[in-house]
Amino acid sequence: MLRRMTLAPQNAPQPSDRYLIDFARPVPGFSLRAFAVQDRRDETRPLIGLLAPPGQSLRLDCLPGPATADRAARLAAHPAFLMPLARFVATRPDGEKALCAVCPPPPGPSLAESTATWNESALLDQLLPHLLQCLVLLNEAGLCHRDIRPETIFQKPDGGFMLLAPIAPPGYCQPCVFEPPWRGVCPPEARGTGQLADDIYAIGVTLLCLYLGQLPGASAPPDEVARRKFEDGNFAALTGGVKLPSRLALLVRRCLADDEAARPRPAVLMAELGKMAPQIIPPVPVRALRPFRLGADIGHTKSSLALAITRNPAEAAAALHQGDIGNWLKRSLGDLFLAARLEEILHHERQNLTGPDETENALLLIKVIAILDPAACLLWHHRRFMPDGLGPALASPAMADILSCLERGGLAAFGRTVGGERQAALAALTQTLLALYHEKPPLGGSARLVYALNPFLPALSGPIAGACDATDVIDLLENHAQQSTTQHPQTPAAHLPLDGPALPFLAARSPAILVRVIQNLASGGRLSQADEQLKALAALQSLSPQPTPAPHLAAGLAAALQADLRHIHNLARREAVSEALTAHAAVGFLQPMLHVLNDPRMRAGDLTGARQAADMLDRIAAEQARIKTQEPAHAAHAARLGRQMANGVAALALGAAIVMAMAG
Amino acid sequence: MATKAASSRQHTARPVRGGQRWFVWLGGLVCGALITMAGPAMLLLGILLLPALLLLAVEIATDRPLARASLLLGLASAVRPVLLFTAMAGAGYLSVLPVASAGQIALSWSLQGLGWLACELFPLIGQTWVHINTARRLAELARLEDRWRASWDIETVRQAATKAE
Repeated sequence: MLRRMTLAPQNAPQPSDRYLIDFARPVPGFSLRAFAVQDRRDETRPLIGLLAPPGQSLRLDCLPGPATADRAARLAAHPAFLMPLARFVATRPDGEKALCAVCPPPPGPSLAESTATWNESALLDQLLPHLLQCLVLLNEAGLCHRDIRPETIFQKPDGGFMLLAPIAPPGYCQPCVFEPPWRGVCPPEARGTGQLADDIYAIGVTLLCLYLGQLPGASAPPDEVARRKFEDGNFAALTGGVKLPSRLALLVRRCLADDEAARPRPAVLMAELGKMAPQIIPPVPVRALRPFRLGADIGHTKSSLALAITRNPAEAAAALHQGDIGNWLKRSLGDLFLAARLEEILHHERQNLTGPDETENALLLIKVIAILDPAACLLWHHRRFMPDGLGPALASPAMADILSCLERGGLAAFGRTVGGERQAALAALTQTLLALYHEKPPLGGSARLVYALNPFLPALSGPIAGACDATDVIDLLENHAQQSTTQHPQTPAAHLPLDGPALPFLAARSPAILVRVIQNLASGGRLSQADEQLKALAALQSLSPQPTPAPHLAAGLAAALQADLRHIHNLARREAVSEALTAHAAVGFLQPMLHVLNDPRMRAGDLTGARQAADMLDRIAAEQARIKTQEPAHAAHAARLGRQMANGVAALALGAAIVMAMAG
Repeated sequence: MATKAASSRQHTARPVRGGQRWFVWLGGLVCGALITMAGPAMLLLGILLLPALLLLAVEIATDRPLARASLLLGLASAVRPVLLFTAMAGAGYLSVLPVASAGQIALSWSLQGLGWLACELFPLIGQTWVHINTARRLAELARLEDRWRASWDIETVRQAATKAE
């Protein structure tokens, strides 16, 4: 094992060693924070580093990495994408760690930088085919982009286009106007992973934006933008009554269809580009005769009403119980079916309600919103999130309290109300997540749940912060240990690198065989034992096909293991093992250290010898005690014997005298 | 040592039991008969064995080892004078004087003192021998224990054993 590891390319620099981010040179024009990056192999090559937002991850599904190498290579092979070259964990000047995607500079300015408006022909014949081709490629890779807008589309010198690969968290950087209305009203971290229809929507808004130069009312607050979309329909709200060329209007209208199921797929749109498509006009929202009034909100559609409920939950709950909303649905909107469903939900709630309870009201509002608009977001104690945005929302500290929505069955209730495929999917998801949540940490619990829901979320805390998967952990720990050694170069400090918060991440990102090691590490206080940490870290280092040496990490572990060598009872053997550990630590591979420490023959021999030694010492102690106990008795016996000897000598003398006298 | 010996004697002294009283009476009768029938010879013996007899009277240990040793050596020294005296048939009490010369008395009393001394010294020698042997064996065991402790961390073994229990 040692030989195999020694043969590994030890001098191959890690991405964190190869790239150096210069925080003094920000690069404008990106929604994510971007800085100049220097490649130490080729310092003349200009590069850009895009940093993950705080508490969020970059999307790893197209970043180069062990699990995504094939997919990233396929996408990178196509000139349609501005693909990242590598990723690494950068340390910001404030000490925080963040994942950084290294990209080549864009081939030209982004479409947002140009103030000139586009004509219909350029949009539909040049830009749209390129964007649809990108969507097809992403769709084949099983991905959504969720970040399409003029800022992420770059114009090449040859007139072509290049789309920035999906690096940012889904929808995180999108202005709300580029998002479907319900996703747009949610906080950026809770907009959900989305689907292809959301990318089609973003393409429609992009086309409209480029044609008009500026979207009317785009700078309005998200709720106002969404209200206008719900009231007038997406197309009318975004065009603001401006007349578009017929072909463009038709395509954009289809892309912006209010019903996401009505938005065409990229292949259909590409097929329709070349010919005059039939006039399919998506339906517009049904408007009520009289508006509803909820708090300060006024509207005419049921989606507007759902939005108003999310804005005024207390007033909405009161209006529901008083029957105002049911009456509006029945009399003004004329939707008797919807009114009957609402009445059914309220009747069910009245039967189950034990008293005024904020949580019960929140569950009621979730169901009411779901029947008003199945595409709506969930509302939980004034926080809005999409069902598929639960994971990123939970990862955000500001929204972590929506975990109680999952616990109280809010997600499942939403699914039951929506019905169809989403009911089964959300019920199964709730069951799975709750089972995971109730599992004993680190295999369960809230932290593990967050990592399970966010497969791209890097480790959030401790020395492994920024690690994207288990194979990153050793490098990060080595860097951490190296920094510690630089601060205290004299003695390698005894250091246990893994801490409690790291375990849920490792349990979520490690293969099954390692999960058992992590579980074992978390139980019975083993986390504070250096040998158990060595076992887990050696397994982590072995995950990589070409493990990199970690001499500083190994040195810290070897120092920590010195205290743990007490389980070797033979002092000479202990010294030998200590020296062997130090020698292996200098090489930087942990598996040989583990072998030295856990050599079964050595352990068995040591244990047998120790038992013999203990027996021998017990015997010695017993004999010492016996001698000390019996000494007075022996002394008394010796005294008695001495007196008897004196008497015997005297008797002999008498006998001798008598014999001599008799003999004359 | 005298105090210790006295204490030891006090501890070992036993009252004369009723069953042994006849023996005391018998002894008294025999002594009386001997004094009556062979008074001068008994006087001679009394002079020669005076220290042993005093010791016999004073010692309160059950088997009276000191008195016994002194008496035996005193008798050994008195065999020859008593035989000489008994050879002088019909001798009166005054005839004891030539036999019980100062030299003879000194010899006899010295031997009795020697008996007392031997009876005191021999137990001391025995006890000293026991103490020396014990100390030697304990030192051997201590050296052996040090050797084992220098090679093995026994405390961790004991802790592990305690934990296992």
